Amino acid sequence: MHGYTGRWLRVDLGSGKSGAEPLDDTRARRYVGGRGMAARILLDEVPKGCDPFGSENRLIFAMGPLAGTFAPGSGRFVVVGKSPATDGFGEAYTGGFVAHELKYAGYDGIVVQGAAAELVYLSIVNDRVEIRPAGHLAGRGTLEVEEAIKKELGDPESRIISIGLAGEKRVRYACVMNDTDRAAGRTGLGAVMGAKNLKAIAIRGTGQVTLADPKKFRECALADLAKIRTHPWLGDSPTSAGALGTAGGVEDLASAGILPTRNWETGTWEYADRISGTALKNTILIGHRACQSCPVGCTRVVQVPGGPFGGVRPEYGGPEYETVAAFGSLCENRDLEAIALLNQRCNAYGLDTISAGSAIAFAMECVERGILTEREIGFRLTWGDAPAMVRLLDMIARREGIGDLLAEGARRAGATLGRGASDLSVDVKGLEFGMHEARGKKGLALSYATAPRGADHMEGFHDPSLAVPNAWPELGITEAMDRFTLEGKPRVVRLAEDYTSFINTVPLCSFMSLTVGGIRNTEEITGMLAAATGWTDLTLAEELAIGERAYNLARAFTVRESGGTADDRLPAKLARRLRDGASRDQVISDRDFQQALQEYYRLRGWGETGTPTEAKLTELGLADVARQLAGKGDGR
Amino acid sequence: MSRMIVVDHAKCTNCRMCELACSLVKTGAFAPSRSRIRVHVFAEEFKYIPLACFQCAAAPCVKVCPAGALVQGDGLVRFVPEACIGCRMCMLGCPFGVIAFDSAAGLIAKCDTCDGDPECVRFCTPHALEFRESQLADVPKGRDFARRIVEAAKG
Repeated sequence: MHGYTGRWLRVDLGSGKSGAEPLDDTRARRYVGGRGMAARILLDEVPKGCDPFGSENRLIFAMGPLAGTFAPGSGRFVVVGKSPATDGFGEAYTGGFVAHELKYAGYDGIVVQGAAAELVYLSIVNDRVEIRPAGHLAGRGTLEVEEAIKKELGDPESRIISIGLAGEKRVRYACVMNDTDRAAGRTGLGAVMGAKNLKAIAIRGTGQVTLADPKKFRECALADLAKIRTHPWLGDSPTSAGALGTAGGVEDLASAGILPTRNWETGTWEYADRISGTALKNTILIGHRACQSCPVGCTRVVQVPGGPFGGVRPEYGGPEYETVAAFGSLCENRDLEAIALLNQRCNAYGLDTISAGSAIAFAMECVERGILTEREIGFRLTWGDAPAMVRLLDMIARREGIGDLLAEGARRAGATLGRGASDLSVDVKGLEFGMHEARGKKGLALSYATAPRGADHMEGFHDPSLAVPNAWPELGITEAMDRFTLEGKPRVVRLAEDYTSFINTVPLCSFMSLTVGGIRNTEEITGMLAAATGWTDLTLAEELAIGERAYNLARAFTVRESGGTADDRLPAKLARRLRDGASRDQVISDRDFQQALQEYYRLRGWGETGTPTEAKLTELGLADVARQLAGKGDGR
Repeated sequence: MSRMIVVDHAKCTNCRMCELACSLVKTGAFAPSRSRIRVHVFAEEFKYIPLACFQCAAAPCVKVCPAGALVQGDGLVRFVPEACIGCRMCMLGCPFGVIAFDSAAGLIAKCDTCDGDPECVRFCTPHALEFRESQLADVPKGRDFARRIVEAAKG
């Protein structure tokens, strides 16, 4: 087998046993890796209605055939389990160096099952797998944990996955961290790791990844690199992702009225230039770095030695766009140093910055509307109060006072508080929105509403990229489309989702495989995958089918766990008009949305309630999943 | 005039493509543990330092090799695997630690600049690695320093 190691590692923390399981070529080509492999395992192994914190839940780390190579953007893997945030399909992608290291250690992925009686960590050095005590690491931040484990193992080149305090405390948006500054951020899988009493996984591999056709692989990678190096956003330009990071476009978002501000009341903000990538570059930025096999290097490196928000160190990385918006405009906080500190604390605690910022903005609006009082919080909490934000973040990670409620996520907190607080939570299925304003890019609203993991900004596409003709001619997306309409969008959303889902099964970094309006490197990606694996007859059509299969697997899990109703609803705020700016007065009316939703379901081959039909699942080779959804049988 | 791999560590983003490019061209597979170039990480100081053989003019490894497996010529220190007895004296002799032992091959591994077409340089997007005429290699560094004098003179 080429591209793959052909082995998955299974670790049972309950019995302490571990062992390698073979992966055959048929299964590999069907599910590839990443989301596809992980979703298949989750559906097969996690019983319906399982408690996300229970020992029956799985925590799956899925790499793919390009991890270990120099394919641009291949330093990527996915963490999957039943989500404590949504009770559905939980998944989170991350970069860094772990994916390659695990391949060199000889595995395509890890399934963790059961739970340890006490806090432990896992050490994987090629074939040697050990469960070691981690009581001395309890409550420690990710950098401390990494340093301690590297010292303990006597190997500074170990690659480490870990959780911080938030994961141990089961904050429902705790993330799984790796390589200090990388986060598998969304859906609360850090809390699942915490519930399993698994503090960290240290990985070291000295093996290799072989290719079916090294010469062809190298040619395709060089062709891909050439496209990336000359791409206006990924290549060498003063406004590129390398130069300004992912927050380079903050001012443009504010101008277009789609910068989430004041808990989604408006999409424009006069202080946008205080928190943008340019502002970062002109103040606290000391450089940038890359994940494994990335020619871009969007990771910011910042330093704030002193002052009220001092102590920000280069190891933890700097805030990327989502973080800048969540702790910046969403809370009307214009202090970039505070954002950098909040980012560092989140990385140390292992907290999703999107959901953490959303929880704080939610609390601020609750205070403004008299739903929460100063007495309940313990201090004044007003828009833009950076020191109060830092205090509140600490309380969330520790589950202290009001932090305990906010650690449940905005949706659950809203339901507990009552008095209209639920209307202030901007989430789908319990997952807070990514920092992208769907009222100003309406196609995104469909992805938010229907994605397996809840409000997901990484699934579909962002409408402004469709404003020009020929956004993706390879798939027949040639017509320019207005960002304010839902008309014609379901078809494009579905295609973009299927391709993105394919990319997520490989997996590759989303930025190096931009779909609509992107780099147009589908041929190079197909070429690399074919040359790595030996699937010489691989086509774009098969890739879309792979993506669709994986998407339906993930969707099926979410549908199965929600008892058959998909809960594809948009939050109340999206029916309210944006207050001002270039997207002023935009709303998503229920009538327009329902119409687009039904069209989308039809295109997907899903029933009127959004459940994948037996015919669609059978077409995708997933007839057994149809039986699971019908309540007849569990797994294959 | 010979050329050499010049490292500008300030430009290195730690993407490690050089290690993979090297291992693929030298071993036919991706195995950074067998790469002839290695990136050393100093996270606290935010420094990434790629290092490969400097092709020393008076190479200690050549002097210390008892088997004549390392020979000097055309500005390179060449490894002759047929002559190598696997004693690893060269690794001890090298002051820079840029000679590795490739246990899979059972031989030492060192950079030979891919015979004047280094693969690592081709894959280095941020230009932290460049292949330049050795006589001109120090010009950019000198110019960068000179620029500091210009800046200082501005006040």
